[in-house]
Amino acid sequence: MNIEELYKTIAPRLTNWLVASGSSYHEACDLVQSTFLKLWKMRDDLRNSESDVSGLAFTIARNLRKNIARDNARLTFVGEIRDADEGEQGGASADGESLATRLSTTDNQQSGSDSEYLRQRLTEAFAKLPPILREAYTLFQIGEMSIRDIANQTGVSENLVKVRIFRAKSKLREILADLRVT
Amino acid sequence: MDINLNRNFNGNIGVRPDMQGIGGVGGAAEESPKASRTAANLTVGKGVDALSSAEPTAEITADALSRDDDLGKLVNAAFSLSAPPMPAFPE
Repeated sequence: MNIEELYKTIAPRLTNWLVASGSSYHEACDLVQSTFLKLWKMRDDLRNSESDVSGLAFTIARNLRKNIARDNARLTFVGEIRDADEGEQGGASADGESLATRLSTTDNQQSGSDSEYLRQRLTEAFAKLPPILREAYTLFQIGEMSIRDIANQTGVSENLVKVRIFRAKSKLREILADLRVT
Repeated sequence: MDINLNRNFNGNIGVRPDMQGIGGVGGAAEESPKASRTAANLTVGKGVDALSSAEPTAEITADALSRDDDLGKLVNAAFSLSAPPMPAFPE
């Protein structure tokens, strides 16, 4: 398992999927990194199996996020400790640039852009979808997962996944009608 | 007093038009259940079930599931955030 190749392939999709399904960008970044640390711990098992690492990464990230939501108070506490640790270490990461600095730079680059407006509109539109439709569509479009992988991950038939994606697209077109999406 | 409430096909509780204004029952007029079901049959052809069950998948073409239509391009443009740096993996 070449972890660097996997990271290049999966991490951008996973980051965008997490943001599209409700996480902040900062939370998504934390979740992506935590997910890959878990995958790294599992590398010996994964090396000898034919498991779908991409699907596994999405499952891990989703479970991590559920845990965070379930234990929000604990997350706040850990966040305070992390902030304190970063303060003691000067906030420097291995490559000399703190994650916070990099993220704020990214945010600044995006601010005022069309993509930020679109992201806000789409995030609002996704929030109006029933969760099962939102999950199927965002995994398909943003997570770039196959119908089969989505079916495996969500525990429903491939046909039902297609129906959910189809319905999600129809509803999104209604919601975003002013953008003249066809 | 016996107030006759019915559900239309959307599941909304409505007051039958012929009962409105009787004994203080007011509110906005709702289409009668019978009229609603008839309308659903005319427009969808399958009645109430068509509103709650899955569409036949045979009608969902590959084009309908395209990631590269206008909606897909819009979504991809909006969600093109960069991933965080790769974490340092412990030995």
